[in-house]
Amino acid sequence: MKTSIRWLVVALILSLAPGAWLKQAAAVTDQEFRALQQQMQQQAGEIQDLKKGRAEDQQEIQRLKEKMGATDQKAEEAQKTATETAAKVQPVGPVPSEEAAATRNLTISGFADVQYQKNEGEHGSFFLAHFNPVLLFRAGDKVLAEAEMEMGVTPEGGTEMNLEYAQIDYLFNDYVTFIAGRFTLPIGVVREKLDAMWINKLPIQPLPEADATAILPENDIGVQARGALHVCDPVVLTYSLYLVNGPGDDGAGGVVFDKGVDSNKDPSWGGRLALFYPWEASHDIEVGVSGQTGPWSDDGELLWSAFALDGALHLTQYAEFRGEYIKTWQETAGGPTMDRDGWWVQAAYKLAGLNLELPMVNNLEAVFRYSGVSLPTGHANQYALGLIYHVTNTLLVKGAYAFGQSNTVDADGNSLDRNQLTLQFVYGF
Amino acid sequence: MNRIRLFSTLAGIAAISTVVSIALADTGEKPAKKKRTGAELYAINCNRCHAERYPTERTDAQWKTIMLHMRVRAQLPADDTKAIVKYLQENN
Repeated sequence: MKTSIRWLVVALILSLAPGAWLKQAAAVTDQEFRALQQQMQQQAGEIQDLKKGRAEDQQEIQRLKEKMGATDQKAEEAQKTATETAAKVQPVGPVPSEEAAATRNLTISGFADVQYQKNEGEHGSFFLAHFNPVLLFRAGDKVLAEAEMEMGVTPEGGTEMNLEYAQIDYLFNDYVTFIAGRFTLPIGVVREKLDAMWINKLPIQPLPEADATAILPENDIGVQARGALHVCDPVVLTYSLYLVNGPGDDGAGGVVFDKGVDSNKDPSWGGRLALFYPWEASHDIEVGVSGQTGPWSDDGELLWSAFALDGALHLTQYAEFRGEYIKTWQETAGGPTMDRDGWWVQAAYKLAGLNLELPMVNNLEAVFRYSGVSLPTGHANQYALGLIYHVTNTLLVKGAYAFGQSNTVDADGNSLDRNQLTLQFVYGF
Repeated sequence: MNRIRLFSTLAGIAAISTVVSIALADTGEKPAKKKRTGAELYAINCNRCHAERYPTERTDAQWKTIMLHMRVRAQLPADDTKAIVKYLQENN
């Protein structure tokens, strides 16, 4: 009975529900319906406007794309043109400095040295200090004015300054250079090429070239033509031909060199001819002959003449051999011709060639030199053993012990029959 | 007599210099020869008298001046000198 009643209530509720919904739907008025219809029409219009705007945006986007494409094409063309132009342009080298571009240049080179010397039987002393600047003034490619001054200390404690040379060089062409001025005479090779203290292998000069026993003049004033040319590669021929004031009379019947003026009406002339054969680097031989002749007496009737034969040999970069023979003749008034002879040979070896791999030893160079002179007053021989320590390429410490044998004296009156120790500290710049 | 000797000496110097310079300057085409590098020529010509000088010691202009001096003093051939200058300037 209860179950029947329950089902009856459910059936009643279900039958009443659609009725209630229909009653609520029927509650929308016409006014509300029109409002809704108007709203829908308005929204449809807005949608239409949006569609139209979208179409315009699409057109704008397309236009911008086309414009961007044209711009890209222009950029590519510009890049291509720039690349082609850059390829045509030659690479630009380093811009020359103002100094390098200048046609005129002043350069200073030279050397400075100080010596300590001890003669046998005397006390040692620091006895020489030199500063030799070489001034080089280049005007263009063909003109060079050059001079070397020697500033030093005299044995009396004073200061002296000497002009070693002062000359103007004019490079006429590849084969001839003209020189005018006071120049180093090309008799032999010592004065012209080996005189600088940082180049000379020993702190002392060979006897025929040393100041107190020299038999050759060092410098003179005049004109010169010189040059070099390959005669058959790799052989080089060098020549010098000059005209100078020449020696003069010292007032006591002797010859004096480089008086600064011509003592008589005739100049002296001389020259050097040499062949240099380098078959490879550090392997070469050079042989030269040179000489000078001219009057020395005031009347110009008496001649002073000189002849020199020089040679150099390099067998490796470590071994060097040099030598020179010199002979001079001096005519005398009513007497026999006075002959003077001089000679020297030298061997030098850099110990680096021994491959001992010892830094101190590798910087050492051993030197031996024998030199001699035969003078009207007697003769002198000197055997010198030397050692060079190369601190750098041009900073050197040199030492030499010379054994002297002689029966005469030098120009200063000092005996040559004595031994001598010389130390030198020199810098070439 | 002395005047004749002087003039003959001067004439000899002038004649030799002129003949050598003009003849050699006008040879035109030079004979073919083995070309040595500037470094080789530097080793051959400079080291035979003095220790090596490093290219970095001087500027381009200074090397040009110094090599002009060395061409005169050491009597270096002109073409060798130019090659050595180039080597020094390229390595300083």
